[in-house]
Amino acid sequence: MSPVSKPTNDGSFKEAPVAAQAGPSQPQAGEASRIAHEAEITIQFLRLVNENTGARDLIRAATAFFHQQSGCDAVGVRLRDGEDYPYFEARGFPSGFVQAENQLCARDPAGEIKRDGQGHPVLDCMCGNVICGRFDPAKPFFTAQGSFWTNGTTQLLAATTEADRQARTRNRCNGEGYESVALIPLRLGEQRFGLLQLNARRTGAFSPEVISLWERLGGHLAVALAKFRADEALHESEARFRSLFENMQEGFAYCRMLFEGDRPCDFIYLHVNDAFERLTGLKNVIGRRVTEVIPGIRNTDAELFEIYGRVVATGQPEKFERYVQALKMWFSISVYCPAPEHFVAVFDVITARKEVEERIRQFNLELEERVHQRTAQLEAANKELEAFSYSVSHDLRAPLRAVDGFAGILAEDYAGRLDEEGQRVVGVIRHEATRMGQLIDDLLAFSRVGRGPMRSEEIDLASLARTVFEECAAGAVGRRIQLKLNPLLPARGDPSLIRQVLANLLSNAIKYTGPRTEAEIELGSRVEGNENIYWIKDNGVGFDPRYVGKLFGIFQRLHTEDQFKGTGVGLALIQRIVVRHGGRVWAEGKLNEGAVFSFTLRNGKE
Amino acid sequence: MTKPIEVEILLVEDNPHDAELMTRELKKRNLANNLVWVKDGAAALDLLFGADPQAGGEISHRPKVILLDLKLPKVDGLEVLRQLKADPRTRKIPVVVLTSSREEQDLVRSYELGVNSYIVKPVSFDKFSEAVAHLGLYWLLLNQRPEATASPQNPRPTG
Repeated sequence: MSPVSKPTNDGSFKEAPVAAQAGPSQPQAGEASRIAHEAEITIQFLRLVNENTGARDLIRAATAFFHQQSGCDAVGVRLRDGEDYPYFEARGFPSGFVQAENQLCARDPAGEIKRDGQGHPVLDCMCGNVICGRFDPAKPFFTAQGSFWTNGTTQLLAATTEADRQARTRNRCNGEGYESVALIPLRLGEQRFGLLQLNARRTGAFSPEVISLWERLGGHLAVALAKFRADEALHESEARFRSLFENMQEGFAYCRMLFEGDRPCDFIYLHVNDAFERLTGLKNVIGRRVTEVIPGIRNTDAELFEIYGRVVATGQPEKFERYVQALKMWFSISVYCPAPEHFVAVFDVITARKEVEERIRQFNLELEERVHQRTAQLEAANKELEAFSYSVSHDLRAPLRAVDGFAGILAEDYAGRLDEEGQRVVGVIRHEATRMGQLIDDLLAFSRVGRGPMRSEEIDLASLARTVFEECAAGAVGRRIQLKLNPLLPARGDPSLIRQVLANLLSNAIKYTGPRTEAEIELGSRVEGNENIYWIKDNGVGFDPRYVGKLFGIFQRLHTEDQFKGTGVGLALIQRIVVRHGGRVWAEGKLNEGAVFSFTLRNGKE
Repeated sequence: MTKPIEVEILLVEDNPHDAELMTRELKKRNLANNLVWVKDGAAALDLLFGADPQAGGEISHRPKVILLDLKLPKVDGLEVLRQLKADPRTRKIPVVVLTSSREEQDLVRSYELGVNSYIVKPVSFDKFSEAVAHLGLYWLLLNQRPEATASPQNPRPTG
C-alpha cells in the first residue's frame, strides 16, 4: 500500500498528508501556503525530471511521484504505441483492470479497429476523449486544458447520458469502485501522445486547483518525454548513419583544405572510414597532410588539388573519374563542401573496370580495323566481279556476234554453193551462237540481282501480275491460256525485282503448259504468321518430284532444249531475288500433273 | 587541190568484224559511200579536230552521224563523246553509241554527256543487221540537221 492511501478511509482529500495544504477548502489564509506547497512539489518534480536520463525511468519515477503525492489509489500513464495508447506504467490498479483497459481502440465484432471518416482509429471511453482532444470545456467534468475529472463517477454516470460524455463509456473505473477519476493529457502543443490517470476509490479526491497542479506537472512530464523521444530518434539516426558510414563500400574522407595564398596546396585528413583504408591501402592518415601520406602527389596529380580547391571555393559539388598517378589507381570521386575550407570526398576504386573498358576499347578498335580491312577486301572483290561481268557482257558477246554474223553471211552470200547439209550446219552454228548469247544475258541478269542497292516500296502485286501476264501471253501467239487471278496481298519489296519474279514464274507457266490445248494458270496468296505466301499453279507438264532439289540451281534443267527452250537461270534468279527479300521459294508437282510454285515475302507483322 | 570526201558516217569501232558486219549492212542499203572507219578514240578525235584539238578554227569534218563504240583503245568512247559534246563546233553532230555493254552506268553517263542515241549491239546477226540498217536509214535519210552546220561543207562543183 502506498503511504498516502493510509489515512484516507473517509474519502476526504484534505486528510491526505501532502494534499491537505493544497486542498480547495482551505481557508483564505492557507492560499499562500498552498502556493508555496505547490511550488515545492513542482520543484521536486522538476528535480525528478532532471535526474532521469531516459524516458522509461522518468515515467516510472513520475508515476510513483504522482501516486505518492496525489494520495490516489491508482496511477497510470498511457503512451502511444502504434495506433493504440496502452498503459506504459500502472501502479495500484487491480491486476485485471490494466489488462482489460489496455486497449483504447474501438473494435468491430470481427476484431478490426474502427476508424473515423479520416481513417483515424476511434478511441473509446473518457481516456479516448482526452487523448483525442474530444472535450467540451462548458461541461463541468472537462477543464480548459482538456483534462477530465470527477469526484464521483456513480453520480456522473447517473446524471449524464453517453451523448453528454462524448463517447461510449466502458464504466470500468466505476465498476472497480473508483469514484474520483482524473485524466490529464500528455501533450506538446496540440500533439497528444498519452495521458496521466489518477484514480481514487473515495469521492471528492480532487479540486480544480489540484487538477490544475497535475496539469502543470503533466505538462513538464510531456516536455521531458518529448525531449527524450527526440534524443532517442537522434541517437538512432546517428547510429544508423555511423553504421552506414563505417560499412559503406565507398571510401569516405573528410578533409580540410590548405591554401598558399589563393592556391589550394594541401589538405589534412580529418576523418576517414574503414573503406578508405581498404580501397587506398593508406593507413593512419587522420590528422596528417596528404602530401605527407602520399609523397609527390602534388607534382603527379596537381589537377586533383585544383578540383578539390574549386569545390571548396565555389561550394559546387563535382563528380569525376580520374587516374591518380601517385597511387596508380583509377578513382570515381564525388566531392562536396560541407563547411568552409572543408570538403568530403566519397570515392570508389575503379581500376579493374577501367582496365576492362580499355581492353574493350582496344578490342573495338581492332575489330573496327578488321571490319575496315574486310570491307575493303569485299569492295575490291565486288569491283573485280563488276569488272568481270562488264567484260563478260562486252567481250564475250563480240566474238559471238562475229560467229553468228559471219555464219549469216555464209548463209546469205554463199547459199548457192552450200548443199543442204552445209546449210544445216550453218544453221546449227547460228542457233548455238544465239543460245550462248541468251545464256550470257541471263547470267548477267543473275549476277546483277546479287549486287547493287535494293529499293523497298509498297507493291500492288495484283495489278503487277496482270500486266506481266499480258506481256508474257502476248509472246504466246495462238495459245489458249486462261488466267485465274485470285486477290493478291500487297507486299514491300523492290518493284523491278518482284516484277522479274512474276515474269519468270508466269512465262514458265506459259512455257510448260505448251502441250495443253487449254492452259490454266492460277495465282493466289495467303497470310501465314509474318509472311505472305504467293503461289502460282499450272496444268502443265509438271516435273518429277525426285528432282525437285535441282529445280532452283543455276543452269539446272529438268527438260531438254528440244522439249522446252531455256537456259536454266530463271528459277535460280527467282530464288536469289526472293532470298534477298528475306523470303523462301519452293515447288510442288508431279510429272504431267502440273506444278505449284510458291514464294514468301515478309508482311511486316511480328 | 581536192577537197577531202564528205564524211557522212564516222564509224568508231575497234572490232574489225563488227565494223565489217556494219559496213556490209550499210553498203547493202547504199548508205556506206561516205563512211569512214577509225579504230580508236584518238583517231576519231584527230579526224574531227585535226592533230591539235585546242587549235580552234574550222573543223575538217562534220559527219551526219557518228557511230561510237564505248570500249576503245587509247581514248575510250565516253571520253570521245565528252569532248565532242563539250566543243561548240562538234556539239550538234549526232552521236549514236553502239556498244555490247548494257551496263546501267554507261547508259546513264552517255546520256549525261548528251548522246543522241544508245544502242546495245544484238548478238544475233539478223537483229544486228536490222539495227544497223535502221540506224543508217534514220540518221542519213530521215533525220534533219540544223542548216548552219550543214552549209559550210556543202561541196559545190568548182567548175
